[in-house]
Amino acid sequence: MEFVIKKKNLLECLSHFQSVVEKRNTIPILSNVKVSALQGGLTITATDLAMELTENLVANVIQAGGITIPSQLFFDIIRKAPDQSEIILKNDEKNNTVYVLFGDSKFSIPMLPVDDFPVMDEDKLEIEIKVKSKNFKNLVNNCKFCMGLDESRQYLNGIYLHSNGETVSTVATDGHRLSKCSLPEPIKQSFDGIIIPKKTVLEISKILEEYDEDINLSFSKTRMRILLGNIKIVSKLVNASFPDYESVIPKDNDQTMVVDCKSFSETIDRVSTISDEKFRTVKFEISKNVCVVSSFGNDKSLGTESVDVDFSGSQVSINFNARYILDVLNIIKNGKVKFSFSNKTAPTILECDNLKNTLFLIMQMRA
Amino acid sequence: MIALLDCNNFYVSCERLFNPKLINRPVVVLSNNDGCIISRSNEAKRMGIKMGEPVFKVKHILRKGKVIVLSSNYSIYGDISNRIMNILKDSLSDVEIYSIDEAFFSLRGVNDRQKKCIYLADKILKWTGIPVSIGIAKTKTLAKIANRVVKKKKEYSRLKFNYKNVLEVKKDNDLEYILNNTNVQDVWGVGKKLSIFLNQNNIKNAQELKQCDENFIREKKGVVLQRTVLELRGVKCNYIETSLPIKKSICVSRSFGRKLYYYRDIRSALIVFVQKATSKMRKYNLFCRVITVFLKTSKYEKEVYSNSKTYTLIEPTIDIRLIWKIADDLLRNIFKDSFLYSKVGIILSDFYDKKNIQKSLIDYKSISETKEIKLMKTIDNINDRFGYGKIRLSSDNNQNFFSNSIVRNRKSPSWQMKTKYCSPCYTTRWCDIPKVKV
Repeated sequence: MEFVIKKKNLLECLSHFQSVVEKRNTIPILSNVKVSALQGGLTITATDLAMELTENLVANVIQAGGITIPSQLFFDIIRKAPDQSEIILKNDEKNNTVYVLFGDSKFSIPMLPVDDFPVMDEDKLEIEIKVKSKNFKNLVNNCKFCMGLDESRQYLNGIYLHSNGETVSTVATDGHRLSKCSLPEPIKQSFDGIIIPKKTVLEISKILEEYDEDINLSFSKTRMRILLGNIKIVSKLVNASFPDYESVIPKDNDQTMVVDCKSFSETIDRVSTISDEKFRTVKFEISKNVCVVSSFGNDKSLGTESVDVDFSGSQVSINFNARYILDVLNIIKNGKVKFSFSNKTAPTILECDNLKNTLFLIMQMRA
Repeated sequence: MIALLDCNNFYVSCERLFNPKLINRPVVVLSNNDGCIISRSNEAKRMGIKMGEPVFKVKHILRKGKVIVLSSNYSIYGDISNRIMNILKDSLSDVEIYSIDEAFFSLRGVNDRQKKCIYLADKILKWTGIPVSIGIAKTKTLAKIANRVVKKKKEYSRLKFNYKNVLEVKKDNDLEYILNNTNVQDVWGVGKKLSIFLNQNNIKNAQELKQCDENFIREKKGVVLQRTVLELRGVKCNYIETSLPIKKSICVSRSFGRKLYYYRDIRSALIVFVQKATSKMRKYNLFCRVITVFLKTSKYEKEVYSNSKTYTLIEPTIDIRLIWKIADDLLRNIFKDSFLYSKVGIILSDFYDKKNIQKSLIDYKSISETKEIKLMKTIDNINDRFGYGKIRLSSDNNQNFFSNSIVRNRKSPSWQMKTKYCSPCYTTRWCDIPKVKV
């Protein structure tokens, strides 16, 4: 195998693989990327056995073939090559060695057999949907911050993608807060919900930042494939049932408070400085269009700030984890935010006109 | 000024309270499962019996010297300790209970500090029968050293002692003499490992540690040892902590009295430990989020096995029923047939206080937080009043275990620790109250 490619193109491609390849692997070949050269271009693949990322790119292929090369080392060598370099990659099958050449530099790297590189099965993906990139970005980005972290609850460690027959929605929850986002366009296709694992969600989100075209998403009950132009991600899905989230969305939160997102976010950030790093408790005491935000520290320190709000209801006194509120306000960014509180123990709903198809729930702390 | 009160040979002193035959005789108290020596009377110390020595290694000395050997009886020691600490708290405002037999207290504003301490030591001896030593100095580290000097007067022969059990280091010359004659390993916060490092750097005694470059110490061993250096110089870095810091974890585990093979026996031990751990947690008014159960064989077994499993709750809890349900599941997950197990235990961690509990979104409708708290409080109140284990989980069949039961000589559970030489629980069990025949 032998090909020539511009440094810029190769580096940009390799940067997509760095977070897919695990730094510490029990199976050595998983630290490598597979490079296949065919007439007209290259295909680079990385996998951690749960997810596979493949990218096609144009190169001047002199001789077709395939190799595997340590991902991190390859990336570092290409990163340090002069900017205008033309990178030549060729292998010596007899010695099991890959040569990376540019300018006066020559690197020889031992390689592992390309046939040992695992390939993920992507047959029988029955459901296929096409979504606009901008809308899919919202589906992912408005939910990903709510994904769980706990290894013992795998079903929460991802985004739940499902359909209600009218449109497609994503939901994520870590058990304390929940976010739900729906597509504005109707998609009549009905299918069973799937849970996309956390790592896949984060990779998709990263690639979506630089991608603006339509997205093709195919999936079965156990696997999914997403095509983003030259990039293809195949991933296993979380094999579990997502909790019945609809039942926790309260229907009768009748006390509402409307605030300016940016200034309220700054207030919470300021007041919560004093709170314990672990708990981040802030208290809202709302009455007569004034919300007093307060927080206390371990050493009996106290911080308060009053904010003018539009409030309809009798009186509310409620505690929250400041981080959860700030995460939502950071997604909303600006405009007016509506908090809907309940008199009972139900969670608080946060909504915003800017994000019409998105709803956030935050469970309060014990009073 | 800060003082450190330390009870002399505490466990042995407690045993002597109720058994005068032990006075003036060599006595040792053993650790859990009667494994090692953890308290020695002065007579036993003079025979060369070392602290922490395994019993089997000194069996010949014990036999030859007619040493009285006792299993540890923590219900007595805990009870006597509470009495001593209460005397201190009644007399002083800033008291930090440092361990079962040690307490720091502040002497700020007291004019004649030694006199005050002698008064306290006499009061404790009179009211509880326990002899204590008190060291007074500018910092906690120096108070610890002063206390050691009181107990080991022979090592500081040039020093003039005005009182038998109280010492205040007032003169700089005296302090220098004491620090020069105190091995660096005996300084509070310097253990065996650190002392090897310090010795390699030519720091052999407390005076040399005091005079060393504190930046070198910080760079090599961190801020904690740097604080020790500063405290030796008289700079107060550690204050009296009157409120308890939030615990990081609570672990209850015991090595079994004999090896256990059956799941039901291990489960029956675990349920007792779970109840003890949760009750301890509730005493600190804490709610836990993380529950870990571990199980292991002895490392000397032919087939060794050790495993642990952890579960994280969405909402922290104090509810014994929920914690036991999870612990039981975790044990079932890690238990494997055909091993002889020597230890099981539970660790509760990731604690929250009542004001900082994040509620669960998923099952918020089913959890009644007030009911849960009230029920646990009621159980604790009943057990405090009528004896530990009076109300317990229905899965718990260890009716003979709980130490406050009225009848004593019932058959112990198969997993209970070896306590072959245990004295009666004179102060905490009705049937063990000493009888006087007239």
